[in-house]
Order: sequence, then structure tokens, then C-alpha cells
Amino acid sequence: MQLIFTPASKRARRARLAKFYANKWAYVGYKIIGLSGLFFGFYLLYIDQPSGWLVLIPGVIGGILYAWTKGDLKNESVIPIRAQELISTDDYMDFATIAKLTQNDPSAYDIYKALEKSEAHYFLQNRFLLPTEIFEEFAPKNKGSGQAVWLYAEQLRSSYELEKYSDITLLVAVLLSIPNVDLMLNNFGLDLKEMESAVPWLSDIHQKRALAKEHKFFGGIGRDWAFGYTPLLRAFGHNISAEIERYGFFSDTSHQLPMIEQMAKTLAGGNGTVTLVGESGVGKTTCVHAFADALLENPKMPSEIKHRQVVALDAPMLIANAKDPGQMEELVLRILNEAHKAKNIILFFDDAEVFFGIGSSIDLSHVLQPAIESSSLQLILAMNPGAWQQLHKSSVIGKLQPLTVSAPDKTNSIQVLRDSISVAEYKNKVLFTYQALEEAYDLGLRYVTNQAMPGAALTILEQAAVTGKEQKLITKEVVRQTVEQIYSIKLQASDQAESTELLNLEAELHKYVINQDRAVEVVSDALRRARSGVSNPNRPIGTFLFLGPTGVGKTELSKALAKVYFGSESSLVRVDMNQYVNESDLSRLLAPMHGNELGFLGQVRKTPFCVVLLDEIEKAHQSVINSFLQMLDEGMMQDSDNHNVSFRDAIVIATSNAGAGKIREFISNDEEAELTENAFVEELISSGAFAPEFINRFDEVVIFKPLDKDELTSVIDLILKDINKNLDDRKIQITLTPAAKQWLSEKGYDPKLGARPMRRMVQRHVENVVAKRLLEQTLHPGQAITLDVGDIEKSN
Amino acid sequence: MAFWFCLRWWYSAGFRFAFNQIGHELHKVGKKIAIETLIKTLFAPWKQISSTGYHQTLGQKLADATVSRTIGFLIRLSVLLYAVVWSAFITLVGLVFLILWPVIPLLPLSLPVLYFMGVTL
Repeated sequence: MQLIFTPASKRARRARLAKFYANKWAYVGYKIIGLSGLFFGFYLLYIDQPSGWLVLIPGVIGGILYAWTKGDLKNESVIPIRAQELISTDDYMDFATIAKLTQNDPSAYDIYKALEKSEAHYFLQNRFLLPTEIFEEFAPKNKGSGQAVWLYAEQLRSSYELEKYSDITLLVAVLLSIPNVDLMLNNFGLDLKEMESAVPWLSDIHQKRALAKEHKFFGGIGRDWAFGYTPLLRAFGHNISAEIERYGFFSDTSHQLPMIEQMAKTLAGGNGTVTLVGESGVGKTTCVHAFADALLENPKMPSEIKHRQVVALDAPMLIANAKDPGQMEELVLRILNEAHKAKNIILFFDDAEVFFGIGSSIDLSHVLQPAIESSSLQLILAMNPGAWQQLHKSSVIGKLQPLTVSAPDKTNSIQVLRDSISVAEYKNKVLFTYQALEEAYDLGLRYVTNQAMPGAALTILEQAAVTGKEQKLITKEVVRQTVEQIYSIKLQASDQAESTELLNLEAELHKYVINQDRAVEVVSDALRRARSGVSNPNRPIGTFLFLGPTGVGKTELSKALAKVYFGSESSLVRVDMNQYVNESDLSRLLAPMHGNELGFLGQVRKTPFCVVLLDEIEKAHQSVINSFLQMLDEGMMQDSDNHNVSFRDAIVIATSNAGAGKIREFISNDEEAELTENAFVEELISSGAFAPEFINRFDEVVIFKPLDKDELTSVIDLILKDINKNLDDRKIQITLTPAAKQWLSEKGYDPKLGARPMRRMVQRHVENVVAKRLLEQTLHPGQAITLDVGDIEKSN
Repeated sequence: MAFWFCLRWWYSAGFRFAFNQIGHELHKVGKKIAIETLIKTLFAPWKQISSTGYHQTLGQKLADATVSRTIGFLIRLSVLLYAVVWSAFITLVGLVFLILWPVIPLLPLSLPVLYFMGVTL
């Protein structure tokens, strides 16, 4: 197949004439000259002035030009392809594009230069951040290189089912014709597929612009004269159809077309009620808008429901106007009667569960039930799957026809986002890049767990528009920054300071944890993997099972990690598994709220970037342990409201002191740490303490060694550091002599309880001394004291 | 070039364009006025206004319905008549325009003749 461009073809010449004679200003000229010529010409003739004939001449010429340009030059219909071997590209190219191309056999670079100042070029620069240098420096300049451009343009035209080539098709085709362009694009964080998507995007914008200019008819005068007045619905409802008639409907809902057809079929078929069931954000309301638009404009809609008015009930307005449930029932009953009498109303109940007493105190099911059962009214209900499940208990369920609205795939979601961002762009005077939309989709999927796509991504983009208002351009980085702010997580690539922090994490953690080198190393490694982007993003950052006797630093390490890396100790979500020993406790674990307080999953949803500490996991009931399996594997858990909670930005640490005696035995035999771990894990499984499927899901099982007396001395230092920190505002500093430390570690050493008694010991012997001296005023602010054995011995 | 392009179109595809324009204008009348609905509901009550109160007698209800339907009929009929008259006007003007179509390009040449002859209306 050979493609040629013939600038001398009849169509190409017409295109060039159109540029000159059929532009906006030319039309203004034709109208002014034409109408004034005719008016003044006839006026002069009317007052017996023969010069009127001469004045009529420009009027006639204006009229002729107007008719010719409208009838001929505005007619851009394509010439069907006659022979596949030789295709003349100008036969199906936009007139505006042809008019810019004047050379015979232009090179790829010539084509780019001709389109350099086009809207399409700015579109690629702004929406995709495509640098102009790619075209300027790399577009082939040799004769014949245009051939590749025509071939790519033809491929784009057929793959996106476009009628004609436009500026954007040719520019993307020029890009595709550049050798090794994919490698160049990768350097700018772009890929070819993304660049290709510019073609349907801009074509879609042009199509919508044309659609907005088009004069539309929605049935004509007299359409609604046989239908009743609806004053109540005007007050308590929102007429979606009237809004579409006034402002138009421009959302891309092509992926929802089967759903809209099904809605029409159901309502026209006599079943009065359609129930749209789908997660929040999935587009149920948009679906109803698209349905209302189809009823007004689509000639294929069944005549029984054509031009019906879709009116959404305004629940907050109803609640505000009804003083008590009785009044509310009466009001809704009157509205239903009015809609029934009007005969052309389809009532839409968004978040319909509210009207059925699910999650609200308003239960209007006995008011709605007769209307639903008799199919006397056409109703559309929209609710989430959880509410639909709960409605199964109700007797109305049998009459409700559910239609599942599922989340669109990535391509369709991005398409919806492209349409939906215009409002945020207009409101905040910003521009979204394509990469920002993709990023919002990916991050929305991961972090916005209470909404489905495309709503989740749209929520992020709307926030990003506010965050990036100053910069005007909403890029991928602005979206990441926004998500970081909303969810308190780290997404941006680690900077120099953070890299240093990560590389020295072990040293930082050792400021809080004595010994336990291996445990410190495995958690540090996990964080480094996550922040450098090496780890699997669909699992938690790290999952660890810490085993060891009490008081060896298992919880301390978790706290230290929360403090050092996750910002503060409040990033530690601690679950005391002692409270989940019965099967019935599982429901409490999965409840997002405990009364007015956040439950475990509620806390993780609020702070996804955290350390989750499952303390004393061996105490939990087996069903509770089983509920963690998916979380350890996929980083997701589902709460009792069926909402996903992500653990993919958390470090999950389970602690257990199962077999503590055995650990001491292994350690005292001086066995190698890793060998000990393997043997110990085997023993834990064979003894039935943990199921293999649970223990094998952890990234690492780490055994915490019991602390010896020397290590306890270091623990004393840490505790002392804490005390000094508390006394910081009084400027008092306490130090202990080595003998005092020795004395404390001797006294506080208990091989079974590790460092646990030590805090009590220091409290009793050091803090008490300081407190007494402060009260006796023998110790004053700004003083530093050193306590010896004699000082602390007396304090008991 | 523009002159020849224009002239060639005027005496070829231009005729079809002029004819289609008349059809387009007539079609617009059908779109602007819900003719089919108006005919189907010619005797339907105006905006569904009719008595429904329990206290009203059958006679009162009947009278109410008759008034509502009569008002509806009169309004619909007048709009339908308007559509008929407007369509007839478009057809007539369109036909005149079609007949004059071939001579329109000649007018810039012939109008000066009328001027020199001193003809007025």
C-alpha cells in the first residue's frame, strides 16, 4: 500500500479556498455586505432611485458566497478509497489540516513544521509534557520520510475508528516515525501507547465542541402539554432532563451503553422500578444522567418512555422540610401521587438505602412499597452492594430489578476522567496532564478504599487541582504530593536526606533497641526495598513474626520504627490479641468503628503508612488468625462494611512469646541465629502453636535473644535518656555512676522477664530520688547530678 | 480559481444543496413542534388538569374535564395550524428560490443594465 499526498487535488484546493473564504470573519463579512446591500438596494429602489440596482450587487455577491461556502467549502465529506494500493491521503484529511500542508511529498519534519503552531501541538506539549525538541531535532528530514508518517496516520485512523486525519493524527504519526522514539519518550516518563491516546482525546474534544454548538431539539413545542404540573417535584427534586436540555450532556458513557439500554428495556417493559447496584464512585448517577439524555435525544429509545423527565429527589431538602417522620411520609406520598398523575416522570432515588432505613432513621419502605409493587410509577433506585444485601430482608426486594454497575477498566476510567476534569480545570484555572490522570487512577485504586473507579481517581484529581492551583499545571508529581498529604504516606522518590536516613536506619533504631541486630536489619532492609521501589507494591512493605521472651525489645523495636521512620509513635497501630481469644471476637476485629472510636481497620484506613503491631498473636483465636492471611499475602483486608482496607504501605509485625523457654535453651547452647530460627519455626509448627500457612506468609521470622546483664546496662541508659528528656524543661540532667548501673542491673535482672522489670527499678530508685530532692529543694533547675549506689540504695 | 470553483458548484451540486435546504427547513418545523404528539393527544386534558376531589359531583367532574380537554384541543389545534402555514410558506419561498437559482449568478451582470435603463420598483 502506498500513501501519497497531492496538494493539487480538487479536495486539497477546496480546503485551501475554505481557509480563506469559509472562516469566521469571512462569514461576518458576507452577512454584513449581503444584508446591508439587499436592504439599502431595495430601499433605494423603493424611493425611485435606480442606483438601488447597483447597491444590490454586493448584496447578491455576499449571498452567493455565503451559499457556496456553506454548501461546498464547508462540506468536508471524504472521498471513499477506490484502490487499496494507492491511497491519496488528502481524500480523507481535515480541511484545516490540508490547508496547512502545501508541499509535494513533504518530509516528516516538513509535516511537523506545518503543524507547529496548531492546537494539537500545544495539546501534546501541555497535556503530555512532550518536549518540542523531539520533533525539532529528531523528526526525519529526508525526502520520502513522509511516507512513514502517512502509514502511521492511517494506522491511527483505523485503530481509533476516525473518519479523517487531523492535526493531532499527523503529529502523533510524525512522532511514531522518529527512529527509537520509544527510548526517547521513556526518558521523559512517557510511552508510545500514552502518546497515541492523544489522538482520540483531542478528537473527542473537537467532537464535543461541535456538539455544544449544534442546535438541539428535544421533542418540540407541545411535547409535555398532555402531562401534569409538578410543583412539589420542582421544590423537592432536581430535574435532570431539564438540566440536560439547558446545558447539554457531554460525559463519555459509551462503556455504560448496554446498561442504559437495559434500563430502557426494563422501564418500557412494564416493570416500574430499576435498581442500580454499584460501589460508590462507580458512576451510578452518571448512568442515570446518560439515561435521561438518551430519553431526550436517542431516537432508538422505546416510545413508551421517550421524552420522559428524570427527576432526582432531593433527600436533604425533604429532611429539612419535614418536622417528624409522619410529615416526611406525607410529603413523599404527595410527591409520589404528583409524579403518578403527571404521567411523564421517572423518579430517581440516589443513595436509595437512606429511604429504606438503612444507615438512616428514615424508613419510607411502606410508602414506597405500594408504588413499587403495583409498578404504577417509574422509579430508579441507586444503592451500594452492602445496602442491597441488607434490603434482602425487606419484602420489596422481589419487585426490584437489580442492574449491577461495575467499575470501568483503566482505559474507560481514563476516558471518563478526561471528560470529568473539565469542571475542576475551569473552577481552579488549572490544566491536568495525561500522566496526572494515570497516576490518579493508579493511586486511587490503591489508597481510596471507600470509592470505586472512576470516582476514586476523580476525588484525588479534584484535591490535586486545589493543591496545585498556584502551579497551574497539575502533573503526576502534584497528584502524588496530594495523595501524600491526604493519606500521610510517602510516595515521592526518596531524596538525598531520606536516602541517608534509610542507609543509616539500623544505627537510628539501635538508639532505641539494644542488641537484636538481626531484627533491626530485616525491618531496615524491608523499608529500603519499599522506598527504592524494588518490593512488590501489592503486599505490605514487610511482614515479620518476632518471637522471643518478654522484655527483649519486640514491642520497643516496633515503636522505634514508628518513631524513626513513620514520623511518630502515633503511627503504630497496636492490637492486643489477648482481646480476640474467642471466635465471636472476629466481628469486633473487622468492625471499622467501636462506638465512636476507630476500630483496628478504621485506624489503618486512616493511617495507612504505619507499623501494625499484632501483639501476642498466639493468644488470638484461629479464626482471627485466619482473617490475617489475605492481609499478609495481598496487603488487603475487608471490614464488616465490605470496604477494602489497604496494608500495602504498612509494616506488619506480629509478636509472640510462644516457646520462650525453648528459645533460651537454643541461645544458651550458642547455636547460630538463623539455624536456630529454622529449627524453632519447625518446632512451632509441629507443636501446633501456629499453622504452617500462617507462619509461611511472613517475610521473616525473627528470634529475639534474651538480654544478658551487660545489655541490661545499655537498657538503663535508654531509660535514663527518657527521664532526662522529661526533665528537659527544668534543665536538670541526671547521670549514674557505673557502679549504680551495675547495682540496678543486678537487682533488676530476671531472665524470664528480660528488661521489663528494669523500668520499674529505675523508676523506684532513680526517679524517686530526683522527686524527693526536688521537693526538698536540694535539687534546682539547671543542675546536673550524678547518682551513686549509695544514693539510689536508700530510695527504696 | 475561487470564481470557477463557485460557478461550477452553483450549476452542479448547488442545485441539490438548494433543494436540500428546503427539506432541511421543513424538517426543522417538525423538530421544533411536536406534531405527532399534538395529533395523538389532540383531545387530552390540558396539563392533566381535571377534578379529582371526592366532594365534587359527577356532573362537576364531567364539566371540568370537558373544559380542560377543550382548552387543550384549541391550543394544540392552533399550534398545528401554525406548523401547516409555516411549512407551506417555506415550500413556496423555496420553490421560488429554486426557480431563480440559475439566474442568481447572472444578477451582478444584469443589475447594472437595469440601472442604466433607469428602472425602479
